[in-house]
Amino acid sequence: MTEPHALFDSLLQDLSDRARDEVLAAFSAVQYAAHPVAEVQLAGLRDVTLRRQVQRMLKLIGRTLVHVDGTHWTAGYDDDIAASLVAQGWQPLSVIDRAVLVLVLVHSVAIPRSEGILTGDSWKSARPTTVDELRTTRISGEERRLSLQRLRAAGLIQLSGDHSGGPSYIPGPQLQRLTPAARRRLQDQLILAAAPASPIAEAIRARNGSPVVVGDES
Amino acid sequence: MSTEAVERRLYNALWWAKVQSAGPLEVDPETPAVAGLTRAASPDGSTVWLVPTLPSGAGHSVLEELGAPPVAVEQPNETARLLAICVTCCWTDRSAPAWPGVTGTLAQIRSVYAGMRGRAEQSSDLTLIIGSLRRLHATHWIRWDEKTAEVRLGPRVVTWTATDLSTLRDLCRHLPEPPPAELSTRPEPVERQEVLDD
Repeated sequence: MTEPHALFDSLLQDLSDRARDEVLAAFSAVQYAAHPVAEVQLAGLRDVTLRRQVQRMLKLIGRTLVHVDGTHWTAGYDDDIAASLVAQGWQPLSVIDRAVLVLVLVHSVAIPRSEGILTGDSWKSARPTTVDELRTTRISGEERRLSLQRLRAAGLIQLSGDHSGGPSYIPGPQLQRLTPAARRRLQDQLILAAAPASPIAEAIRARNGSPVVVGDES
Repeated sequence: MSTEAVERRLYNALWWAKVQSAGPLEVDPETPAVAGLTRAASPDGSTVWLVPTLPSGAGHSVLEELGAPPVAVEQPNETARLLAICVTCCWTDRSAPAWPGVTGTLAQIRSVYAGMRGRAEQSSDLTLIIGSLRRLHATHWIRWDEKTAEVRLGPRVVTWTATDLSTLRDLCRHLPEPPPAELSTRPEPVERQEVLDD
């Protein structure tokens, strides 16, 4: 006998006990596991009917299934919900945390991608960002240290395995939760910030249909 | 689906997205209920925390059997040890729920920590203790105030079940008894509390 749940019960009550267990296991795996989970590992992801129930559960909480490498699944924010939160000015990360995260993304992903070392649109990378590369006069050493701690705890960055030159960082597993549209938005924003006068930045502004103010915190 | 039902679904989804991105949220008590988010009144009653709940059979507890670990906690043993110490300092009436509990102090925590280790405090202990308190604060298991060096249990403890509390009661019995708390301020005056919360 299980207790009813105010949000999910309407979806779960019609399922058999077994289907309910499979759906909840798959829901938990895509929501709370650090890394994407293999489709073959869980009936709730393998079976299209059960996977549809997982997607319905996620939809109720503003999330959606994200397919990774064609074989794995994770969950990320639904694009419409993310857009609504952005429109409301919702921003859980402090400006310092965002700045440090962006530095890691620039050094570990954007630069290697521009050099052709990384392909595809994933934000996963093995190219470490060193502490030297994170140094900036705008953020004190103590602020940076605390920020790195918070970003690591959130899974947004992780320590790289390469300790040859002291601690270094790579993007964390949470970046794999970005939907295709969110991955593109992030890439566009980095281009607009790094090369605002470039033809590609012009094309992004034209596609978005409105001029974007570089450096605008919103 | 009616317009009202669609709006209700969007309202729920937006609040859920907020608590997933920022952790439990402290809101005005007038905020309408959100399905699946339980409400925990703050100690002075001026706000409520919205804390997500999941159906039984869902959540972190099933990850282990799936072999799919969650995002790793740094220094997991130290962090768990400090959570246990905060519980023993802040949950003094163990016949009542753990939330909201009472205010504990860093001096109490250091004392219990040294007692658990069975030796006098070492200089490196404080670094480990503060690091763990910060991690637990960031994840809303506790509310750690660096300025006053005081701690309370965090809103996530409202999700502890009767079984969890029974386990914790046993655990507290095995930990050294904390010394009496010497608080920097009296616990109750509401205006003072609000100033401290800023």
